[in-house]
Amino acid sequence: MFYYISGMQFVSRVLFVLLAFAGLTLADGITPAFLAKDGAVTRDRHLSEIRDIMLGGRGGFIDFGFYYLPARTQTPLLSDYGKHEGYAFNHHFAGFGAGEVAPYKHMGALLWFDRSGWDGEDFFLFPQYNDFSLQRSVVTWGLTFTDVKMDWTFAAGMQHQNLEHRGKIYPYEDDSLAYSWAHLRFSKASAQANFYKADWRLFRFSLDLESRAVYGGKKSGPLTYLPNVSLAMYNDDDEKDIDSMRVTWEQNLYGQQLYAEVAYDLNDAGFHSAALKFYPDPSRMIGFEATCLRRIKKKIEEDRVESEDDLLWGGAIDLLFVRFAYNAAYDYDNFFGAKGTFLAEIKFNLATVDGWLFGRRAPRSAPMETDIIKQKDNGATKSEITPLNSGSGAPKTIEAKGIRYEKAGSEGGN
Amino acid sequence: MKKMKFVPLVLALFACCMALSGCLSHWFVDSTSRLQVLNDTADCTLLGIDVVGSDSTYKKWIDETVFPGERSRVVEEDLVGDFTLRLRYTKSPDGSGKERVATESFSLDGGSLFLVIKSEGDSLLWKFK
Repeated sequence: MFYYISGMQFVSRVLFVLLAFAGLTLADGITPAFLAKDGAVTRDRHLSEIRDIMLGGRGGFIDFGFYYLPARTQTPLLSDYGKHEGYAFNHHFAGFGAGEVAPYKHMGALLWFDRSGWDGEDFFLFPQYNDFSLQRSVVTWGLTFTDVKMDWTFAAGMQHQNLEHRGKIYPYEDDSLAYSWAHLRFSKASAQANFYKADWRLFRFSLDLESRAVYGGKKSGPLTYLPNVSLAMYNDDDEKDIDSMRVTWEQNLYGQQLYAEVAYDLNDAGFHSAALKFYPDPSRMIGFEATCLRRIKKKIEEDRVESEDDLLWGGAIDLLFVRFAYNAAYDYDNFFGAKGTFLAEIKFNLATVDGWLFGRRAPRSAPMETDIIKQKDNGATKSEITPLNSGSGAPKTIEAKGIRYEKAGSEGGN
Repeated sequence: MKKMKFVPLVLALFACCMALSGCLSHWFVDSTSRLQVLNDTADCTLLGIDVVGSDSTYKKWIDETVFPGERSRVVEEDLVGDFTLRLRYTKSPDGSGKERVATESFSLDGGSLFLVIKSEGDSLLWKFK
């Protein structure tokens, strides 16, 4: 009884605080231009997430989430007609699973799905579909093959972009089943390509040099301080040239718990964003981040285009099942430039390799006490069993699927 | 007393449903505006009401001539938020003469909007009732 009441009190308190914030903050509107280009943004994000999961190329991954906005003043739409109250939305889920088909050879399938846009009503399945709303879904699917011994992965598949409703104010867009993609990883280097029919849309080259214990690397030491760098090249239209290029640099600063991440546009835009991220545990199930993003606003003054820029400071707290953010760079880039309001995303994601659990892109797995308890049932004496991260004086046991390796902390052992 | 145990559980489930369904405020908040205009002037004819935006963009809302003392039909539009309305009218009871315009900005909360146009001296007075 007490449990439920306190739970309810907590829920109502959180809701009250959210509503108070939503009411107090005067959110900036989002523009139809952001919504119009979100198909490309989502397809790019799908592929970068797939790149992260393909670092191992085996095991499994699940993800789902949606933004929860209590007030319709939080994400107003700025159209040519005025400021429309309503809800930007993003519902997503993803899954990947691979099995061992031959010794050291894993085959798998993956599916990423996003439904996003803006609507006059909040909804989970059935939108209002009004004159100013836009609903779009993007599906990315593919098959994967990984050779663990040779340490390479190949994955390829299709992307489908479907506009389920387009309000009058948005540019025309074709539904398309014709996006294809491929991903090739050899050890720590990977390359991705994305095509629309015969025209390329994206090339991404990544060097994930940081040593990750989940994939058999080091737990600590200088190798864990190597950078993760990626270069993405984008082509927005049917011409062959490069429209934009972005370099992303992720750097472990302290014990795979503190990271810096910088994104820089190589074309005229320059610095894009920087983030300082702190994960209390390197498994990345919980995270805190502070971000800074450079916004570029283009204005048409008489015949010339003038651009202004300013810095947007923000942050986010990720608590495994829910993520709170204010002006975070991720949301500006992936949630239609939403800013000036508190966002809550109800979400969950978890990756697994060899039975170990961790968040996407995490270098180490979460400490798993369940395996230790299993060992206890098998008759091991109590004093030998200690969690992995216990004090230095105690004997350490490393557990993996019933096999136990011991490092004796004290000599003799009667 | 035994039944009371379920009340917090039901409330908690209800809260979860509300949260998981992305809130359902549109069940009790209007997401469209239904506008009707009353011409409460003695000597002006209303030719229509438009929503105007930047770059001379506009959208017709009430596209009907409303003579003194009459009301227009109700027209529903997907307009909730901050907008500028433009009233087109003539200073004659029969709709003849030069077309004039008056603009005013409003914050529309949706639902039924009953707009009364009165004349006050030389200008028109907008009032939502």
